[in-house]
Amino acid sequence: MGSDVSNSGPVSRRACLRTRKAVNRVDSFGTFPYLRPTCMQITLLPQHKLVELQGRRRVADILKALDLIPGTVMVIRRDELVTDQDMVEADERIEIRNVISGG
Amino acid sequence: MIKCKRCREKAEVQIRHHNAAFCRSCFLFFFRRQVGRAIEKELMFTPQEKILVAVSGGKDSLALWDTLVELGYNTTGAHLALGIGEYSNLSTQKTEEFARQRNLPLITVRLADEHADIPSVSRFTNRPACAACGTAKRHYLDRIAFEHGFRVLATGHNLDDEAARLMGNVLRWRVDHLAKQHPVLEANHERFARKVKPLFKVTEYETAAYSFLCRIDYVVDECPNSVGATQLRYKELLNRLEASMPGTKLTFVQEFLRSAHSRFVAPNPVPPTTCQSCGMPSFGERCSFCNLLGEVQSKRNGRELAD
Repeated sequence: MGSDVSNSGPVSRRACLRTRKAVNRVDSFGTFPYLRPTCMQITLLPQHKLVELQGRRRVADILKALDLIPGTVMVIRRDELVTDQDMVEADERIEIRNVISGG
Repeated sequence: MIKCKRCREKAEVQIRHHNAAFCRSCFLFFFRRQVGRAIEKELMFTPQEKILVAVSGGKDSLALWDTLVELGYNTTGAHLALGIGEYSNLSTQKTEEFARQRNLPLITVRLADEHADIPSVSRFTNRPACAACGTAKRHYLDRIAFEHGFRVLATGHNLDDEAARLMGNVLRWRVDHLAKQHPVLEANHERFARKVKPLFKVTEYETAAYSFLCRIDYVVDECPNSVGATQLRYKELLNRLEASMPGTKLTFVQEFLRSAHSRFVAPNPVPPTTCQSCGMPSFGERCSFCNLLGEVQSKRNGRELAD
């Protein structure tokens, strides 16, 4: 990146430095932005299954799309629970954990 | 964004049948208060009594144990290593870690040490694993309570468990089971402990949320023998009803206890006699568990002779 820094003027040099900082900055997922998922990634437990959904959605709509009954699963984003009315962005990772046990 | 009913911060847990949502700290307060109130209202036990808590490593039993400790009760855990492969190993590991982190006393019994592990019992007696498991758990928990001087045994049965059990008992009109379905079962023999279910009014979602928010490391995977269990089918039906009519499960159980339970009387309420093998209460010469173990031993000996 350093070799691509333009010498044509201070504005261009600042723009390149901003870009380099943006590429190198770790995002809230702990990954580099170019490694961020391009669609919603959902881990289902205890099945240990990964499902992908397109688009920004409300949690209630995600459960409906996966044919899951509200109140039978916990929806976890990072280290917090989200309710049915919360929105999940198109490129986020969440975990949906079944809470109903058989015995 | 849904706000917490108590403090108006962002809510993490929504409880429709209470028409409420709570943030993390308010939910933990609410949960403990619900359990504390259930204990007091049903006269389950007093702060002076020692409580034996049956812990499996799952979310319900660990949430129960944590809550009882937070409420200030004197508790000891009882864990049965059932011998169901890696699932049981993980359950034991998580239970022991939970107890170690909180410096809580734990009694662990390994069924394999007495040739009573569930896979062996099921194999040698041709009984379903769940039937053998239930008999073994009841026997060992009663025995541990008696041998260690506990008069109260608490289990992590929650509202979903009780509602599903009630549905099964009603669909089959098992009147003797209905008579015994209560959050408090008094001991009818000097060697039995009083059996209580402090979580009987909280849902599985709430116990799971409690365990998650308290950072309790519980076993997420299901018992491999529970696939296709009837209990799960009842729970699914009830949860579908609950989703469209919040409060169905709680009303079902509460109103049964309030209006209908007293109309059922257990047949043959004669106090049981004593098993000649293990000394625990029994309806015959040997208790059902010792009969089962005897069958395992004789078939195992028969196979060894044949080999």
